[in-house]
Amino acid sequence: MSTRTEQKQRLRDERVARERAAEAQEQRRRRLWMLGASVVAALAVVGVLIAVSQGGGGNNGGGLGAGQGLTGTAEVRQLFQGIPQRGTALGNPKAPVRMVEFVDLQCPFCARYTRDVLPDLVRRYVRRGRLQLELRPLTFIGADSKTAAAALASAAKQNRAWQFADLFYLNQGPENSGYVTPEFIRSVAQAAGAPAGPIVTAAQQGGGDPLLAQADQEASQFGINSTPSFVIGKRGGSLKPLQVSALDPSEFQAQIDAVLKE
Amino acid sequence: MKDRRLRLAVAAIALVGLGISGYLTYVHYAGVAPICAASGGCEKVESSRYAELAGVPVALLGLLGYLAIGATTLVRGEAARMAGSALALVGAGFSLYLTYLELFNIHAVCQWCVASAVAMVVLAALTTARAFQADELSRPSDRPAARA
Repeated sequence: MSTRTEQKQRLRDERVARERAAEAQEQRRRRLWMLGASVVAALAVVGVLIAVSQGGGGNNGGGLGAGQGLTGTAEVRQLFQGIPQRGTALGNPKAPVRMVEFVDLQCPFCARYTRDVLPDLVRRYVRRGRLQLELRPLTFIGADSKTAAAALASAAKQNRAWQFADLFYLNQGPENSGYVTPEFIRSVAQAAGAPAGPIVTAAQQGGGDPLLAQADQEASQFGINSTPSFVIGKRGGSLKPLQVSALDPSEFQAQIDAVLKE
Repeated sequence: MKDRRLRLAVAAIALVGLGISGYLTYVHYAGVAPICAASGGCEKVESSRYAELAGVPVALLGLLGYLAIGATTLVRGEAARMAGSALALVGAGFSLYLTYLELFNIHAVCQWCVASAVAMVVLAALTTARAFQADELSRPSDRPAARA
């Protein structure tokens, strides 16, 4: 038989144990709720990060609106942001190496180069002032190429040639399908951050820009008959054809590094 | 004791992640090719448009994430545990998205990125387990003073 004191003690112990169990259960419930809330918050943050990564992050800061419905607007702005651009030249005007790219805006391989190689070259060499890139628009493929080249030449006058060309490639349609309409040009120009009016007008007027004649003349000089083709050399020196077997960044890096070491 | 082990495991894996993301951040800013087992895979991933998020290298974001998760193991308390878990869950979610991009969008695999993704997923599991463990510790009977 337990004494009255022992009984009291036992009852107290049982009550304390019950209180502790209830407290522990409450704590567990609260923690579970907090963890659930963190999972939801984490999912929301990941969603925002993915939206930014996909370039769907709303206002692109260009102030000119549009570019809606085009692929890659944010990425293109980001790629060229802060890099000096004059005419068709991109990068430090005193860079030790110059590389000239002959393009046709309708050419799918030019688009592939722009997608797979150009970002690497911009980050690795152009941003660091070691390489200046230049564009020479050709019109091999057909009528849409002529419209596109005229628009590019006009975008170059507004120092937006690189954004214009990149966005054009990323939204390229089937060759000579008539997709290079004034609306398409307007949309690309606006997404490139250039006032679209003069570019659309130039595209509608077609050729005649001195840049197109210069591109044709240089293409004949280097014996270029396909796009994309490249010539490279030290600043102030002669340019030589750049030979690559694949549109792979490492192929270009090897050649650029070799010219940098000359 | 179990929490101590979890804390050490989180710190160790965060350190591994710090090493990986530190290396990838160096590669990004130095403009050198990463050491890669798959031919050109890392370079293709590193030079893709997904290598940066709003102009900030993804590797640098990872570095900061691992630093923050590691730091939560140095701070006592429920808030630090919860913060560690939330950070690791965000990191794991975003790492899984990047792995998806490697496989189905960039069509190249960078083993450094995959290793980092695995580290982040393991960290998410460990930090969440650690956040659950917290109430075990906070019971008065488990406190050192109560044992003495």
